[in-house]
Amino acid sequence: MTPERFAALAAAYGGAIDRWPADERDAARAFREADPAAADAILAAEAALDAALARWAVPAPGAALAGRIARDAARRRALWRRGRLWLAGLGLAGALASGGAIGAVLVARLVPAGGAACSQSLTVLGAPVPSCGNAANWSDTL
Amino acid sequence: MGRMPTGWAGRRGNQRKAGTREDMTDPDGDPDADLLARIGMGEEAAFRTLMAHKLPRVHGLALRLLRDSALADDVAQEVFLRVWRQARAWRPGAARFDTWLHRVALNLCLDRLRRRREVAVAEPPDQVDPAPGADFMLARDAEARRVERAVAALPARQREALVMQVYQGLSNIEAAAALGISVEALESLLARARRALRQQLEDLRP
Repeated sequence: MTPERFAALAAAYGGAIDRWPADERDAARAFREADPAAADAILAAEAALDAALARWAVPAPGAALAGRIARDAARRRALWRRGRLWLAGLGLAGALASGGAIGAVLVARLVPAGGAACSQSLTVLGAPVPSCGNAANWSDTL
Repeated sequence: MGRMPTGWAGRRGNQRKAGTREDMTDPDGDPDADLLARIGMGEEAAFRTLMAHKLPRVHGLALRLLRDSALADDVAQEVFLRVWRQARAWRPGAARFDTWLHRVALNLCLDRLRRRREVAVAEPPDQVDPAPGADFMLARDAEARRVERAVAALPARQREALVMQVYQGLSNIEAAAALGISVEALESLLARARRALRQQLEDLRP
C-alpha cells in the first residue's frame, strides 16, 4: 500500500483501521508496521475527529414506539384478512350473478319470439315452446 | 417512494450507479433471513424480535437525518410496517436485508425532508424555528449540538454518507448500496465530509 492510499483511506474512513474496507485492512496494517511513525500520525489526526463525532449520541426510541408498531401491524393484517374474505364473498356473488345474467341472455336469444314459425318451436333443450300456438299446433310439429 | 431494492421478488436492479451484484450479495447468507421468513408467515413474535434488533438503528438514522423525534418515530413506524407487509416476498441471496432497511429508511427521510421544504416554502411560519426538533436539541450538551450542527450543515449526500458509515456502522459496500452509489463515490463523499468537519470541529479535540 502506498502512503497516499493509506492517507486516502484514513481521510475517508477515519482513524480505526478495523473500520476500513475489509479488503484493504491487511495491507494497511502491513504499511503501519513498516512505517509506524508516519502511519500513526495520519491515524491520530483522524481518530481525533472520530472522537468528536462520537459526542453526537441520539436517544433510543421510546419503549412505546415498538408496541405501537406491533399493534398497528397486527391491526393491518386483521384488516387485510377481513378484506380478503369480503373480496372472496363478492367474487362468489359476482360469479353467481353474472352466471344468471348470461343464462337469461342466452335463453332470450335462443328462444324464438312469439311470432316465429312453429316449425322451429323446439328449445335448445328439445322441449316444445309453450308460446308457439296452442296444443293442437304442437302436435302438428311432433 | 415505492422503490424496492433487490431482495424483494419481482423488481430488481435499481441501483443508481455501479454497486455491482457481487457487491450486494452476501456469500455467507443474510443473518436476518430466518426472521424474515417467519415474519412472512405472519409470526408476530419474530416481528417483535426483529424490531428489538433493528428499531434503534433505524430510529437513530431517521433522527440524525431529520433532527425531529416525532418525524423519526413516523419514519421508523413506516419502515417496519413495510417489512411486515412485504416480508413474504423477501428472497434471500440478493441484497442484505439490513442494506434494504437502511435504503428504505433513507428514502423515507428524504421524502419527509422534501415535504418539509415544500411546506416551508408554501407557508412561511410567522415565527422562524431555528432548527426542527428544537426541543430535542435542548436536551443535549453544547458539544454534541455543535457536532450535530456541523453534520447538518454538510451537503446532503455527504451527510448521508457520513451518517451511514460513522453512525450506522455500515461497511463501505453496504453504505454504497444503501445510497445507490459506487464505493469510489462513497469514499469521495466521506473524504469531503470529514475534511469539512475537521475544520469546523478543530477545537473539539480530546
